[in-house]
Amino acid sequence: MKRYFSRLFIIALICILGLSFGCSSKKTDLNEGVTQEQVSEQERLKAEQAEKEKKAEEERLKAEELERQKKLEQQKREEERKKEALRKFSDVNVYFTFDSSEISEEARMILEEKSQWLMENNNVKITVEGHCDSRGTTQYNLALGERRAESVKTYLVALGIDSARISTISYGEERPAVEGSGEDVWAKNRRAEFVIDSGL
Amino acid sequence: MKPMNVLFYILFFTFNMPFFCLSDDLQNLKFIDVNNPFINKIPVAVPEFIPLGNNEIISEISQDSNDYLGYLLDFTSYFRVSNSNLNIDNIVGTKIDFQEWKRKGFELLITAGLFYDKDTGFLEMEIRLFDVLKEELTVGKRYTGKADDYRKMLKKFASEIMEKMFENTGLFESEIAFVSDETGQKEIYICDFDGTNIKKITNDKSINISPAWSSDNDYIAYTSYKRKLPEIFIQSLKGKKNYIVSKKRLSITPKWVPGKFSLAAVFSIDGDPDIYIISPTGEIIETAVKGYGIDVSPAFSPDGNKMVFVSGRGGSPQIYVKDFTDNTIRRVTFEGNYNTSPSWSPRGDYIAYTGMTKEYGINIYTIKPDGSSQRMLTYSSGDNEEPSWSPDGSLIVFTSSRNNGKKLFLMTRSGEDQRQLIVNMAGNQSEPAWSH
Repeated sequence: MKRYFSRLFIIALICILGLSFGCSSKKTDLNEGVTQEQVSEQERLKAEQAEKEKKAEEERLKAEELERQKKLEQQKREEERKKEALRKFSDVNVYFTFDSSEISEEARMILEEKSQWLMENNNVKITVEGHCDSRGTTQYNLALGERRAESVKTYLVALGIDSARISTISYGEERPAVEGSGEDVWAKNRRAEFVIDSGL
Repeated sequence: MKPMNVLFYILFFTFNMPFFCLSDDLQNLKFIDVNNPFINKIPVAVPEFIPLGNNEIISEISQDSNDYLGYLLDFTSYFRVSNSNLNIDNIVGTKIDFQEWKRKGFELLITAGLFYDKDTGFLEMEIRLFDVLKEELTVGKRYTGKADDYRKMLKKFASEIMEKMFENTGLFESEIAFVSDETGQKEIYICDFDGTNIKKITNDKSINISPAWSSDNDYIAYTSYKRKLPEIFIQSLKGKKNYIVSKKRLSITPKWVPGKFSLAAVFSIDGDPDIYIISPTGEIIETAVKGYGIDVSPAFSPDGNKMVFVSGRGGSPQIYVKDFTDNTIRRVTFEGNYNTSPSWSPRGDYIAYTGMTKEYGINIYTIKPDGSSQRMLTYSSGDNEEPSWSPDGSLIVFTSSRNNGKKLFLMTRSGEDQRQLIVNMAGNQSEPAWSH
């Protein structure tokens, strides 16, 4: 009997042990499930966060790119403005009436713009070319072209441009802008032209 | 200035007052004789050149001599030359029937003989000018030289004639400098008095203008852009030293002081073109003319005591004379608003210049240095500019646009015989300068 009990006890113990083991193993499984669930939630959050951040980054980049492009465009516009200003400076002539080196009202406005440009482009040195129409004699026109170039220079200096930045040359009637004769042609040839020598 | 009125007076005096002796002033008015250019020309006979002795002569030389002498005399505009189908038996005065030549209407007779030595290749030319009316020898010469030089001998004799009869010297030995753009760029050229023998003396493909002869004709000064700014280049035609005169801005319109190795030139030292007397090295000897406005285009009286120039001081370009002896400046032209490019006759009596008026356009005028006797020499024939006198003062070379483009033309000092000097050159020719 004593043996029976002892056996029973052992069985019971085993059972208990077995039970306890079984229980314990079950418990561990449960715990594991919980942890996993917690981890995936975190990951989701993390991913969401990353997604958000990514979007934000993209937004930022986009904005940056936009900004950059804006800047570029501004730069381009500025460059174009400069180019246009330069073109205007080089291409727009000052015109004179026959046998005159007087600066007309229209010429004054043009020269004011030119002086603005020269102030913006402080390193630029220029040559003012004096030209005449084909009427009259070669020699007198050489002198007249000189007077035209000089009166343009004098006006620019009066507007505040350093005289050392302005050279003059007279071509008299030697380099007409337009060939031919008639008042239309002559009017186009009685002019001062502006040439940039250096400093751009 | 009404040319038709002048024409009327001349016809009036010529036909209605045959015994009226033309005063000098009236003779000077014959510039309108474009309709009858041969009025008052002296009829001269140039019969065929004859062989001297028994020597055979080259008939080509003989024929060309006759043609060339006729050409030279005709060129002066003083003569009406007959040189075809005229023959003479003897070239010596005692054997000439002057009455016969007189009957044919000649006032002058030129006889010439040629002797050609086959052995030496030398040619002897014996040539005489007779006054048919007075029946006497005016001038006779014998020239000996290489046969090829027969034209040189004829030029010499033609010069003798001009000197003996009119005290004119230097025409046939003279040259004309001018500007041409036949290459596309303006370069300086030189040709003989008659537009032949054209030589190019600059070749830098820039702009070369305003040639001027030194008194001895050894140098030509001109304005060039070859180093960018217009500067004065002085080029020796005899292989001597060349010079460059360069002031800041511009150095233009050189003209030599008569008899001196110095020039008048225009600089714009303080931004206003003024006239200075300088050495060929560019040293300023004297400020000749300095005033407000343009002062340009100096030219000297033959004695060098006076200088004519263009000034804008009166509000429009006009001709002025500076007298160096008393340092005065007098205005010469008052008619019109644009009078430029003066040239002083080597005889001293007239100044030729370019004048522009609304009515007549651009023309050549002459005026006495005191401002009297102004006359228009060109009329209704394109733009006429930049006159320059022949060294004997008898002819004026100028630029005209009457044909296509600007070309060089000649006329007498009173506007007769207007003709093109150089016909076969492309492009434009301008700024003629006759040598001294």
